[in-house]
Amino acid sequence: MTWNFDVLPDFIFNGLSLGAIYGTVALALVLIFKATTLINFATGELAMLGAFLVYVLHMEQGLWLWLSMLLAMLLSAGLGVLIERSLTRPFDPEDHLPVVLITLGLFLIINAVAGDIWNYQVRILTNPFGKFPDWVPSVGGDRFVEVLGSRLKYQSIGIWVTLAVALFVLGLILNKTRAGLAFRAVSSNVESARLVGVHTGRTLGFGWAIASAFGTLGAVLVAPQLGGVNPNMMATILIYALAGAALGGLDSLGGAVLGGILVGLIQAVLVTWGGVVVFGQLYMSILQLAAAFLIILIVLLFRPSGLFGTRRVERV
Amino acid sequence: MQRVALLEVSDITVRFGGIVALDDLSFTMDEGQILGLIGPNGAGKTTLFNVVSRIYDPTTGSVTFDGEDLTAMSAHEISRVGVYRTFQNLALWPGMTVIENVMVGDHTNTKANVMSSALRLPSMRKEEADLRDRAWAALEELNLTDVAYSPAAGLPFGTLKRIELARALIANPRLIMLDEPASGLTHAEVDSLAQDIKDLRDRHNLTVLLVEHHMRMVLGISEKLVVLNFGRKIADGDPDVVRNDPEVIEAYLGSS
Amino acid sequence: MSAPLVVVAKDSAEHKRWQYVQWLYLAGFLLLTPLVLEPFEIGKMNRALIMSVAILAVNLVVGFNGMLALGHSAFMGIGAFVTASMVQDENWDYWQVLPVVLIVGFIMGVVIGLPALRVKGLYLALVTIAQAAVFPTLVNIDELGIAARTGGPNGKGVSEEVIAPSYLEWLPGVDGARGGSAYRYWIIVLMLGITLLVITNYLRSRPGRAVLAIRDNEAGAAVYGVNLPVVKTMNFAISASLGSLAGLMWCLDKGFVAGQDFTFLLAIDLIIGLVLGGVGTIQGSLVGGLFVVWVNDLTKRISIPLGLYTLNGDGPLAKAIFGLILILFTFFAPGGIVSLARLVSSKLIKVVPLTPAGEPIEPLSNFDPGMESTRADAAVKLAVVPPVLLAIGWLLMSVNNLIVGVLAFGLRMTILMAPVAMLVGSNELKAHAAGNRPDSVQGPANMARLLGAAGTVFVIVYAVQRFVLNY
Ligand SMILES: Nc1ncnc2c1ncn2[C@@H]1O[C@H](COP(=O)(O)OP(=O)(O)O)[C@@H](O)[C@H]1O
Ligand SMILES: [Mg+2]
Repeated sequence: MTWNFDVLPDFIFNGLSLGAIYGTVALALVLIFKATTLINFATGELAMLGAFLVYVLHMEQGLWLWLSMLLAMLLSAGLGVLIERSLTRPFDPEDHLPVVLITLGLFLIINAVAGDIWNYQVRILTNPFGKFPDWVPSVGGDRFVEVLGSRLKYQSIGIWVTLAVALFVLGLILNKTRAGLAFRAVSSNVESARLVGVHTGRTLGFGWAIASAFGTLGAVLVAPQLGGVNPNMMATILIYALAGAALGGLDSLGGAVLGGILVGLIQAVLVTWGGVVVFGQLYMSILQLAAAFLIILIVLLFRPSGLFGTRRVERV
Repeated sequence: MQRVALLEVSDITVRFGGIVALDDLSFTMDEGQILGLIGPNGAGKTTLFNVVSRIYDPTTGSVTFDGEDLTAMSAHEISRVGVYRTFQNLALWPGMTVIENVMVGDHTNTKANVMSSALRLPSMRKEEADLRDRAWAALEELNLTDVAYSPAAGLPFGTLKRIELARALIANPRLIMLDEPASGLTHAEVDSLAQDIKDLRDRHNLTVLLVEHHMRMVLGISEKLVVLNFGRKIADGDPDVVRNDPEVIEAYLGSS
Repeated sequence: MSAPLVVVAKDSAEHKRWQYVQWLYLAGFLLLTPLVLEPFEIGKMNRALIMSVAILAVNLVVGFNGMLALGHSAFMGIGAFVTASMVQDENWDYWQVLPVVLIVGFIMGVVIGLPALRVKGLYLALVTIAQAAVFPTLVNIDELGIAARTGGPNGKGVSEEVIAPSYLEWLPGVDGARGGSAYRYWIIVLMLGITLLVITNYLRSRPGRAVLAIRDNEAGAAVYGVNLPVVKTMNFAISASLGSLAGLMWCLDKGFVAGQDFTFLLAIDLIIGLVLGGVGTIQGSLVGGLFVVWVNDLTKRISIPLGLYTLNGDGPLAKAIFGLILILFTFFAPGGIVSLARLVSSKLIKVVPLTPAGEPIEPLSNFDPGMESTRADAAVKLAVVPPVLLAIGWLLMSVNNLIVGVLAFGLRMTILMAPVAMLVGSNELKAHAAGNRPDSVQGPANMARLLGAAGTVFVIVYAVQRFVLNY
């Protein structure tokens, strides 16, 4: 088999759109890590629950898709606040084990409850970017435009635009609102933030809220790629997002997004495009997971703080 | 006196972002000396300890101990040359008993490895029994045998401070750095601690770098004083001279 | 807190007798298991003991070193597949595979641990969770002969050439219908025993204390000469090696290995067992293994009658219960079951350590005069409480039919406590006759003796029925 450069742009576009989704979920991880130095292992399951909320609101109750998404994001945010307040706040944030155990417990419970309500079957959820509007000159059943001689999916463009808008809103929240400023203060130094009168507990709740909302967004965007929603949909996505967050730096919001995108690109170009040539079609999904694992290992070997993270000096 | 300095701190600067915690600090310490390092809160005293014990990297400068460059070593190697310390906010191991805490104190000079321990080889058993006896002796020296087999968690602060001292003593240190050993003690306890430090120095041939806010104690036992303010050394020398230095008085009055 | 009933000096005759009684309980429990349980129950017991080894491996890292390891399913998988491949394809014996598995596990531990453990923080959790996710997929790769070795998606069966050789047929249970599983039980018990011994020695000595010191305060450990990355990596590699051993045992026990047996969910099961039993205690790992297997089994049974969704008989209920257990234990019993058991035993007995001169470090006998007489009561309690705990565990193991379970529970409890109660009772009476026990010990001591005698008769009848009449 020869290296087929003609299809390379297809793969790049694909990688960039998948990567944007990983970036969204990675952002959810980093939003919590930055403030608490905790990894929330329930991130994926919370996101899955959000996607099912959209499923219920839109597919079952017939609400407008975008309104359902907005409502689901708000509900997830509320759930995030609830979890933070009731389950994690009682514990000493310096002591990681209890809180991590709690997030693992949540992971199991949410997955099991979703499994019992919706079974472990894939349920179709409308693709928010299924078709171009009529006025766009497109091909292939309104799903593509031609760029660089390749097909650029409407879906990819939609994902990028959505993520850009979401990031813009996040930037506004973090820089212009009191809660956002408090959040930034707490994540750079809990002690000093507390000294200047920031209510740290409430602020962490705020972090959980935004993180959950972003997770839900990521899950809804990824659903069409997986054929729909199901309780195990986020299992591998969470691993990719973790790889992205590690690559970008666990405490860097921008790093999370870029790291996620890089992981998507690596998967699409190195694994899918390059790997198919070497190994054949069969191993794509295996190698994608393996690539994520290797990315984490390599980052730890050569740059533990990630591409954009900061090294912290422990106080003694 | 033609003595070579045991500890030599030269041009140490430490920056944390915008904060200059230590600013071009230099001083020396002779063998057997008790040196009092004083200065208001935030002056950089603990930071110096952390640099010497290689928990922090200095931005510039070097620390030599008995001719060896400590700044070229990593944290776990410092104990090999005989430099030990206590911690201002305690760094005990609460999940172990007090005597076990003290036994780990001599980690550097003991040898049992995973194999000999898992199989309980005779060499390991002998070393272990000897280590336990020495830990007991160290506890005895500091009147701590009552709590020897209690968990280190949950004991009074003053007791914990003494346990830290015992943990450092078991390893036969050459230099011992004490970070505010008298904090949390009553007046009577402070006096007996001062006497203890002097006695221990004589009995174990120690050199003591003492950080303490308790002025009476510092002035009572120090043979040399170094005063820091905002990371800079503002005075250095004989305690009786330094204590009357106008800049030192100013630093203390200005800070409280 | 009330004072303990009995205060003994370490290594005194009384202390030794107490320990001896405990060993007797344990030996009785182990010996009777393959005799009393049905073959499928022995199988469950085997699985529980294997889980205990794996949980102990996780405990080494999470409980004793304070690092989060979420990928031991992969180490178990590696051990299991190496074993399956060597036994099935190369005709090796299980004992020959053992060192290979230990070494492979150790090397994998170094490869994964070293990059993650050089730096502080949750990085080990990151790597190991990815490791757990990727492992089940890797065994399906056709290249490099991997799938041929692992059996790919179909899994690999291993011939069960582990029936007892004739010279080992004397082992309890190793003949007749339960022979195969009982013999495997003995191999597993032996491996578990050696593991416990070695790991206990390791943790109670210089290298083990360094591991604990890192958990409790890293900066303190470093200043006292502990090389953090080296000690952490060594400990992680030992743990990985132990995880692989659990994999070998798994292969031995099940006779079949497949990639989907070693997923992230297994790794989580290990964490749950750890929390349930008690983080940072060796006994906790044992208890945790028993409970994880039992809860898994129970939920499978009750999912269908409750009309809950199941997939291949394995519903989400177990996961929900596990999740709840994790959260509830983290909130209300962070020390796990073992800490509760220790609370009970601290009310019964206190062992006073000795000074180097051999003196107890605190006075032993500041009892009131009346206190003496409670010792016999205490002895009876000591004789009753542990077998009750063990028996409850046993009951939980065999809850397939509750009534049979309760009956069996009563019988088993008697078998267990009988010889012990008799022993303790006799000792107290002897002491009374010698004049150093008050009159009031006579009642409880006679009681203990009576119970013991009844139980012993039962044990003999049972044994005759089982072995001589071959019923
Ligand atoms: N790890 C650190 N990160 C940031 N700033 C630090 C750190 N350690 C110390 N500092 C700062 O350095 C200065 C000196 O602190 P310290 O050495 O603890 O003072 P002292 O022990 O004399 O009270 C303080 O301003 C403190 O906030
Ligand atoms: Mg200080």
